[in-house]
Amino acid sequence: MSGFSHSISGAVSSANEAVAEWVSTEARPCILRIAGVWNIRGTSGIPRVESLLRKIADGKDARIIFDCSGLARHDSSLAAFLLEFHHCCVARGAVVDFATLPPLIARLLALALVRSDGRSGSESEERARPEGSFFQRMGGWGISSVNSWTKAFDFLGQTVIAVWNLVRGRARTRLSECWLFIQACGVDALPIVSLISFLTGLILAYIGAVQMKQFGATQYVAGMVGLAMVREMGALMAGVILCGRTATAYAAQLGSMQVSEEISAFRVLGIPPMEYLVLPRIIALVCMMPLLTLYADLCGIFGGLVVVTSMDVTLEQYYTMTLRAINMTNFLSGLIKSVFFAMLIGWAGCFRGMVCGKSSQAVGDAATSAAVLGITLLVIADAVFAVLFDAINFF
Amino acid sequence: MASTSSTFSPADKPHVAVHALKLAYGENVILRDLTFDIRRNEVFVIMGGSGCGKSTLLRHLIGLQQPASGEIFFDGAIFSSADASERTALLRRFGVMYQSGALWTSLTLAENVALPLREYTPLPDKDIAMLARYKLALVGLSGYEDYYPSEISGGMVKRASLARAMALDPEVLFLDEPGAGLDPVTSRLLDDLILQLRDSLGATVVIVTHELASIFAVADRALFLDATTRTIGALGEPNELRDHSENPRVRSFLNRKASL
Ligand SMILES: Nc1ncnc2c1ncn2[C@@H]1O[C@H](COP(=O)(O)OP(=O)(O)OP(=O)(O)O)[C@@H](O)[C@H]1O
Ligand SMILES: [Mg+2]
Repeated sequence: MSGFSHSISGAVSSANEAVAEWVSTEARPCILRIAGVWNIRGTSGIPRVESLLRKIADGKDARIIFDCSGLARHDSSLAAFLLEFHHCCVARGAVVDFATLPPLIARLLALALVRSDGRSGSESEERARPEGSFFQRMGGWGISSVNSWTKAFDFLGQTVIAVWNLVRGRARTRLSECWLFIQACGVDALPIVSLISFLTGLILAYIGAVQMKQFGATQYVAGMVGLAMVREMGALMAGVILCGRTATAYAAQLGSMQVSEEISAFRVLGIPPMEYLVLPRIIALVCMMPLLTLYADLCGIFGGLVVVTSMDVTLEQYYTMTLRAINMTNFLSGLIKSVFFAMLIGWAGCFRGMVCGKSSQAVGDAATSAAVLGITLLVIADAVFAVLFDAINFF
Repeated sequence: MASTSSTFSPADKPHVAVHALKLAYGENVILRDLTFDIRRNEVFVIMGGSGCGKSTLLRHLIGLQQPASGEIFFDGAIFSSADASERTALLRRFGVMYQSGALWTSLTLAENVALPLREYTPLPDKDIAMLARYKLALVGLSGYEDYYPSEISGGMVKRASLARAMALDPEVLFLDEPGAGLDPVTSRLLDDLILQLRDSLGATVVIVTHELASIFAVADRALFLDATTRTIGALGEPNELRDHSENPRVRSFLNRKASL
């Protein structure tokens, strides 16, 4: 039952190429000739185990020995090849005799084999995560989205408890931490808030001016810009900026603390991360957001001013028209919204950071999804407020 | 590559030579007046108390940090002030295992080992996967190819990062605390593996460790860094140092005595 052909014909064994070929024909044991230069950096590649084994497809309980006389140089590619070869031979019931290899390689292979006892390579196939059928994937998607909702509500509950503890004065919060976050999310954001809201006011003014000009009522643009900034755009623009700047930063900070198990260390010490890490961040945002909103309002109005005064409206007219258009309620509605926005943004950032996985990839995902979640919540909340203020006639 | 390799330069030239090296973080000098050679194909241990600057020295040897003064020669060529392209060419001949593992967390173990191979060898994916399986088998991690670093134990992270360090069959293998976090048996196996690798790859191995058992088992020569004087305390064969070193701190370190 010897199924061996003569040595593979046409195998050009040039001097610097890795060679593995059968030399034995009918003879037992079968001899595998290993020769040439085995180099992982070489371009000729490593011989294929499968194509060799095809030759002993019916070679059950064959004994295989090696002839290494032509071996010039080798590195770990040879050992890797032989390990693979051994696994495949054993699977087919053949016996490989490593004693005929040079002692150094034989020792390394023995080491690799001892240590792979117990767990075979095939076991790892179970871990391969198959795509699955359409229904499996839909099911998986459904389960994971339910899971993430559960997590979100769980986190919301924990946040509420932490806030309640804070109100009762029982929270382990270091309020001095807040100052750092206040600087990071407030003062440091001033330049970008100035730029964005100035341009927003400017854009609003241009759009308004095009329409109003037709009626010769350019000075009414002042009121329009003022009202839009104070009621809507100031809070919204500040919110969007803080989503991009602060929510992502929170998610990345907490996420990388999660990766390096710093959060576990807090937990084990009995310091609740919700109170120690999350609350100061949200508090800082809640403190700074109304101020940033006010500042954004002013910058926007200034942006409108620049446009309109260039269109034969005097400074004084702009001033009086703005004051006539907006009142205290408008201001208040913007500020109330901004406080809620701050909570949502801070919450989104911290939530995504705290449920972050344990890899650098997960930290990136956490930052991305914090921004997406933050902006989504922001716009939804804004819509809810619009309906609500209309219902209670809060103008 | 065993005795068959012909790429080696004359054996008398030291593999890594360090001359009058001074290491500092800003104004804070960690170590000074370091002059020593690491011979080809030896297992060289850097030892010393915690915080004496072992990892810092290692980071300088692999070029992650620039010395405050002094030079490092690799294979006779100056390494510490080589330009970027020479340096990358040299770095490819190093394998490094970091104290904290430093596995890439978004890649599986097999992908971690395969990445250097994929970048620096012309091999097809199949061969790379085969090599990665082999390297992981050597450190006793067969069957864990598709696990992510966050899903394995601390000691397994160590072993996987050793597998990654030897991915490219490096000429010099730098290991920072390879035995820390391993049980005595696994630690023994790791020592065996290091010796085998040295013999079969013809590699030079530089190990940072303070595990006495492992120092006596693997070290050809050991360098003791003295935290008090901030320089070399002793250099020589571990057994020799333990019994005959003039430096009492070296003797007590190697005899596990808490004197001084
Ligand atoms: N990035 C850094 N900036 C400033 N000082 C540092 C830095 N890294 C380390 N040091 C200081 O350098 C000294 C040596 O640190 P190093 O990490 O080299 O110690 P080590 O000998 O490896 O200790 P161990 O055995 O605990 O790992 C320490 O005193 C440490 O405070
Ligand atoms: Mg260290």
